[in-house]
Amino acid sequence: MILRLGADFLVAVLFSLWAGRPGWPGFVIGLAIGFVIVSTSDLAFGRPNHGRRLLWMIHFAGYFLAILIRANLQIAREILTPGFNQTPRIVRYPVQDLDDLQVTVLANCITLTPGTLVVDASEDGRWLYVHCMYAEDRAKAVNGLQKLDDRLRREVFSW
Amino acid sequence: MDTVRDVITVILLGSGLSFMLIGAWGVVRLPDAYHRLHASSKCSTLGLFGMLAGAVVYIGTVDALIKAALTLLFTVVATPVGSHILAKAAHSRGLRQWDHTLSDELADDQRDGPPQV
Repeated sequence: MILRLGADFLVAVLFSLWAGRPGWPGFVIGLAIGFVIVSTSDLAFGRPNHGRRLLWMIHFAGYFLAILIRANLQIAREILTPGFNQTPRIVRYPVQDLDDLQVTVLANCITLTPGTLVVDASEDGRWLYVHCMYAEDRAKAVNGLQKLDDRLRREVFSW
Repeated sequence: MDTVRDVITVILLGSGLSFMLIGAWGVVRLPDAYHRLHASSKCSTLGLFGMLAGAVVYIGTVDALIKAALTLLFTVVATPVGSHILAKAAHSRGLRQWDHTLSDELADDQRDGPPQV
């Protein structure tokens, strides 16, 4: 995915240099041309389509914004109302079958979703340790993490 | 038209600023280091998003939109990484955890080694 987006941007830069039209209109046209080239090469080699994956990523970005807002409302309520109702725990979460970049993306997403914060990763990179604010029931907290993980795997990691 | 734009700008700026303020207050008020990091990482990201959106609506050029999107992208990548480092430092120095913390599997695993799967 990163390779494909990079190729897309490279075509855009080359096009705006070649067309001699600096500024964003030339760049956007270049992006469109790069998009067509990358999509065509995907179709020719029978790989999953670039455009569809881009749509999945935009879909995930919308979902991410929604959960970021929910996370903020949740912590704002905890801060602004008197007394504390948290039931915090540090739980381990398995990430054996992801590579380093994917673990980093997952950890960043976990930190910005409601009630969870990544504390550490184990030395061998097989476990993430997550501080959950509302984890009265450990299984339920891990289940929430699993849901985000599944979504990331389906919509972003399926390169 | 300009009035509508001003109103939207004020709403976006105001919500961004209030999330930042709530986050700052949370850093003071919440019971231990991990809860404070929850407040600082989430609230500053959404607060910055609101303020950048307000700026883009007010300026209203594509250049501003691209710059704001890039700023937001780098923030979303960098802020959680910073809070991971702070949380890791807090745990390795053994900072006091809140009394109601139910379990700490990171400490368990550092003592006994991680589970074998």
